Amino acid sequence: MDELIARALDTAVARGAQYADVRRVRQERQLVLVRNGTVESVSLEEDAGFGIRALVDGAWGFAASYKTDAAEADAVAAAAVRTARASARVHLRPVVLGEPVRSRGAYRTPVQRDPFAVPLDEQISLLLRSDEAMRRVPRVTSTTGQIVCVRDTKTFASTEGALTEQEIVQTGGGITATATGDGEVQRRSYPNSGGRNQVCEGYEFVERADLEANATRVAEEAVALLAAPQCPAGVTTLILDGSQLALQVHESCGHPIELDRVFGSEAAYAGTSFLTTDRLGAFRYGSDVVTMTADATLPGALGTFGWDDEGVPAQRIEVVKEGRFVGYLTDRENASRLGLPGSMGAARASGWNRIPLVRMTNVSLEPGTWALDALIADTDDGIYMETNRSWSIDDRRLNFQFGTEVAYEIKGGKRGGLLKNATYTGITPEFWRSCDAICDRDHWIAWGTPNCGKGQPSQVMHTGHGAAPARFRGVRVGVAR
Amino acid sequence: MIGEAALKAAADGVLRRARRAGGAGAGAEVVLVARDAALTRFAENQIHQHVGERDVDVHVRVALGKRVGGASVNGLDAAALDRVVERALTAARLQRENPDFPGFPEASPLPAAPDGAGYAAATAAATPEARADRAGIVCRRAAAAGMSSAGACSTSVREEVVANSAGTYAYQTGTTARLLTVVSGDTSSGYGDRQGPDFAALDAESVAEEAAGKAERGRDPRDLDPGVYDVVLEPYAAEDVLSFVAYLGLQGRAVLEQTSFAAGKLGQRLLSEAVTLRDDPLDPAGLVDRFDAEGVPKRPLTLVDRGVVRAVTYDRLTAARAGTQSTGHATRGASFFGPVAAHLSLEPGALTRAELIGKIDRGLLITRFWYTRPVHPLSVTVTGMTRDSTFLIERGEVTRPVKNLRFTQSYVAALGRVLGVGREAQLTDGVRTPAIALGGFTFTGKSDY
Repeated sequence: MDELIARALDTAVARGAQYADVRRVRQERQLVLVRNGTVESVSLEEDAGFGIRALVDGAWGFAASYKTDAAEADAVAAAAVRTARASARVHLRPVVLGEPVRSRGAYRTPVQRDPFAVPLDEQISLLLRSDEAMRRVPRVTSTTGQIVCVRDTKTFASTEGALTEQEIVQTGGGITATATGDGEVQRRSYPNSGGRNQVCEGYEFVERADLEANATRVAEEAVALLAAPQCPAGVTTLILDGSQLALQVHESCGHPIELDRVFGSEAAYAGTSFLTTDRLGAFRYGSDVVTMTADATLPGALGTFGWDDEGVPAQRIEVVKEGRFVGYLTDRENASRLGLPGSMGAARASGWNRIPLVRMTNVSLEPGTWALDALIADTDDGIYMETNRSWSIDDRRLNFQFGTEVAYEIKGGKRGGLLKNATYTGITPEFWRSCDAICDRDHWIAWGTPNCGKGQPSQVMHTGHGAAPARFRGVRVGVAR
Repeated sequence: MIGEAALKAAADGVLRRARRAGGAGAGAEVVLVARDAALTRFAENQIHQHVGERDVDVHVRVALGKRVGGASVNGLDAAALDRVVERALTAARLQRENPDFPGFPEASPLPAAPDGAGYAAATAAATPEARADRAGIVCRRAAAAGMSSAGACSTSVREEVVANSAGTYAYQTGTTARLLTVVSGDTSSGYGDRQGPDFAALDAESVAEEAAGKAERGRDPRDLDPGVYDVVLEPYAAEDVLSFVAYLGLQGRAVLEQTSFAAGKLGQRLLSEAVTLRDDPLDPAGLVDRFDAEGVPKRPLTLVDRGVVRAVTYDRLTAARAGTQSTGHATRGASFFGPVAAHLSLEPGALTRAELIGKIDRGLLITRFWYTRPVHPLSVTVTGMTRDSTFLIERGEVTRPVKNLRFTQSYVAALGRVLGVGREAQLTDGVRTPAIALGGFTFTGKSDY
């Protein structure tokens, strides 16, 4: 075992910790950002340190430092224990972690082409060519392109005997074009909103995305939106593309199944959940066609790993089974509190200086049986929406409103004219109960959400969400321009 | 605390390494940010998370002519400084020329901050036990009312250095302390939040009383149909309106890229005459900041004067593109977010809270907005929910609590219909604002709680 880690654990125990764990993490991040024809940023970032979590008298304390010498290991361990004792001053219910976790081993994200080995010049050239193609389209007023590579190297060890080593590699990339004119601003993005999609793969992800080949189309769609009619207001049938549906799953299923927020841990910040424990196993969350999973073993997806940040092995569970709510995302403490036999392994920390919280892994809508063409042909009257533009949901995860970059009307089973400023709104279980068709595995993609926020101090987590296009009946659309 | 001497030595070391490795023509900039931060988090009337960290980030940009590369590490040891300079130089060598890159700024005199502003010894000395005791005050008040509190008490000390090869050197230190809580009952909740440089000034009793009192008054809310209502926004909600208008509209990049409502309209009255909005980084009642991430001095900037948009915020790159000067708003996230104002301050009016409410015949008193996101950038149309107690106002008086509502509203249009501005400003999420009354706010949905 790493000397620093062993020393920190020994010190924590010597100071009175009944349990302690240490994570030593090094994160490397490489970003190339092109904006309006110039390379605005090429940066190579490194962030490293270690954090100690100590349980004393049933209460938690955590301390972390960027320094990694022996004296700091002692000081940080002592600070974690002292902090835990201070917590015990305002503490009612002792933390119980359940059965010990003694995982051992190593995990590495499989990659075909190490993104850090790809010459920066190759990445810059690709983004500049894509950017140039977008800017050739008249009325495009701003453009962006980015490629992001992340490598997390982390060691976890606990006083229970766990010792895991992981190297998680992520690659992301994307382009955006914004067109302005006639008092209107419209943006199109590819392959996902927020400037990029991101996955646990190597540079092969960027090659497969083929940003350059999509650049002209993206720019032309942004311009076409300027003159497109507004999305009409009303109640209609809605078909969502996979990327928008991935965010819908994230917000309206992924967050409310986080067991810590169900118990109130996030009440002052991220909120609570309508999926209270009395609803587990019984609540009708969606229609019979709706099955959702949390799967940290999904190859290539952004929330995939070997063990979570408590050393619990990555797992796949059902969270909604044929419409019925059946499972939570858990860490050890909250799983134990609910009386579960163990955690399903969703305790994740954003870095060395943060504690693990219950976070999404890859929360996905399982594929159905439809082809998209057949689904549209089966729809008399409705709207198809694609690529997220705005998102908002209440603090119990019920009332949501989303906007998309682009929409098309559907008339008589055919995709019709372009619509702009599309929005839709609903109440989570009513919405998922109205789902009557989901496209098949050929249309299913594991999308990445690299900007999921939770916790105080804030932690930004990278999560994955598999989804294929799906149809919903009786949805309110066109809430705002 | 690392101290200025050690940080300056590290900054000098970075510039020396850059000069040695990059040659005489290489320019370099180093930004050091050191922090000791701690946070005591509570829920269900007990502490459930309690954390502390020490870190120091080193951000370096190296410029070879107009080719600029960046790198960062955390740590001040020689090997870390070697690595960060080498990587920034590698990135610069692979870069294309950025014709707009204006170079690194020469030294400028920094504004004098009011004596002692921005730093409080009590914050730097705050212990886990002291934070836990503040949390305990809130937890006991909520428990006494049969309710549940959740929240956080945080303290941090930060030191910042910006230095560059053109002669700029700037150092500042500051502290922040904050106590916030949501107190929840069976059918309602309330919010309280105080922040500032001084931990000793955090009044836990008043935070607890505000949140618990609000939750008590908000019990058993009734349904209200969505529609258009006049509103009084408490400072927590007003902050959201001001921040989005500044972020999406009153910043240089949005103007350059024509996504701002103010593009081509500087000097025009675009908001109500009651709106005078400044960015004031030297306000001793706020979180004092004397220079930006490029070492450019920060000074108070009037963005909106009685409804007329007078200025937008720039860093050096966007200023060069716009043919103007930096206003001191460079941030390390500027590549993504642009040069944004971080010390907004709305000029208070003359009205008491009761007088603001008295302006409204039938409308809503809003404690707080939640999960607000832009729907359309040009009009700063935003959607979000109300949270932590909303009340109906009838004939100038608060009459009863109502269930939460979703709004979809242009914040620019809303700030064109100001009915009144409160006289007591509060610092919330870094913005200093009083409560404001706005006409014709559009609510588009509702919840069942």
